Amino acid sequence: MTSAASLRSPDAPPGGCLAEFEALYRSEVGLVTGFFARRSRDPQTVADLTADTFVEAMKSFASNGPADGCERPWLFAIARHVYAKHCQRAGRRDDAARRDMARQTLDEDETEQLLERIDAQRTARELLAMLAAMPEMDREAVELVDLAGFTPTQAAAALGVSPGTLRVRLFRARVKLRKEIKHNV
Amino acid sequence: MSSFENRLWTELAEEHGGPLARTASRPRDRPSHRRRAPLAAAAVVAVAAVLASVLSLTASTSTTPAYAVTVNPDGSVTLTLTSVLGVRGANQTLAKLGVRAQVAQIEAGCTQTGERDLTRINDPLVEPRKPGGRQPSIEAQLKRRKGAAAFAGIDLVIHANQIPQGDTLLITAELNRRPFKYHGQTVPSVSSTDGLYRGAAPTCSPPVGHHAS
Repeated sequence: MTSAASLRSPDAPPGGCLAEFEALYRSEVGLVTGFFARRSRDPQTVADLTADTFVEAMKSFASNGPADGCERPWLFAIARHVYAKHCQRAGRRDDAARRDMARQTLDEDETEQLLERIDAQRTARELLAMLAAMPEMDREAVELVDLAGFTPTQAAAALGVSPGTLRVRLFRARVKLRKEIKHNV
Repeated sequence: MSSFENRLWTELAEEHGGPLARTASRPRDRPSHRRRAPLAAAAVVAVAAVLASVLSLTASTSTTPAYAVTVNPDGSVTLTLTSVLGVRGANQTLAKLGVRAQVAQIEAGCTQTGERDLTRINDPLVEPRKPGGRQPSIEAQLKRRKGAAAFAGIDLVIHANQIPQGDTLLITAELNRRPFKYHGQTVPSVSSTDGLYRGAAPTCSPPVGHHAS
């Protein structure tokens, strides 16, 4: 037997989930690009990792998307995962091969824009470099709250820790950062 | 946004936006957090002989419920799916009720086959639910939920008692590429098929025309 039936709410917004995702993309793509610009000085790498993050997000948005109000931590958790995979690839020295397959071939203007974005993150990279000896989560706590503008609760969700733990780590990292800055001045 | 970010969105939407565009809304909660009837399957079936028991288990909170499973007085089961997001919950509920039927999503690349039982191919084990009748209107059940949108989904009656022992009835659902007009609005549509399998049925099904031999 084959039957055809109508499906879906006729009250659904035009474009469905895609419109919802587009709103998320437009509000967060700058932060995601900045996240990668703090980690790489190569515009092509920043572009590829940004694209990879949103491809992964699109794949799971409908079925395993964020709860309301948790969109930013959810997206940054994906970005962190994408960056970890990128580092693994780089460790295997096959990044060059992958670069040849990059889906975002940047034109001159786009390269210039991303270089400006990367340059704007120079101070942030220097600050994070001062925290190099700290545990990764401490560095990321500073980055998300002090550089990316997350609330401590959002940062805690993105890093998968309790808000209390996040605040402790943030406090510890800030103390360390102040000492480093005093030492370097 | 920069030109890079604008172009990236255009490419993302073109290359990966199809499934999202065909999804009306996403669930705000996972099914496991919703109200679940704490009744054993046997108890539900027993009650069904007296009155229609409605287990309207939903996969969303404020949006359209993704599925509902209703045990009818004659032992048949009404399955309502408003979204493919309800497939998992519907299958769990059917299993709880002891109904040897399950829903599979159409997935490109699915290679599961299973062994078809063609001995009952002419028996109507599944049919579209007829409006009216004595069972509570599933539409009414769905519409009563706060924020639920008007119903427009798969609504099938499964004659569970007629499924041969050892067989599993598989129902597949696929969103059609061509939407249709509903109350003046363009909405997606779905086609469903069903078939009997000996033993366990596949958990996915390839698109029509891509069945493995």
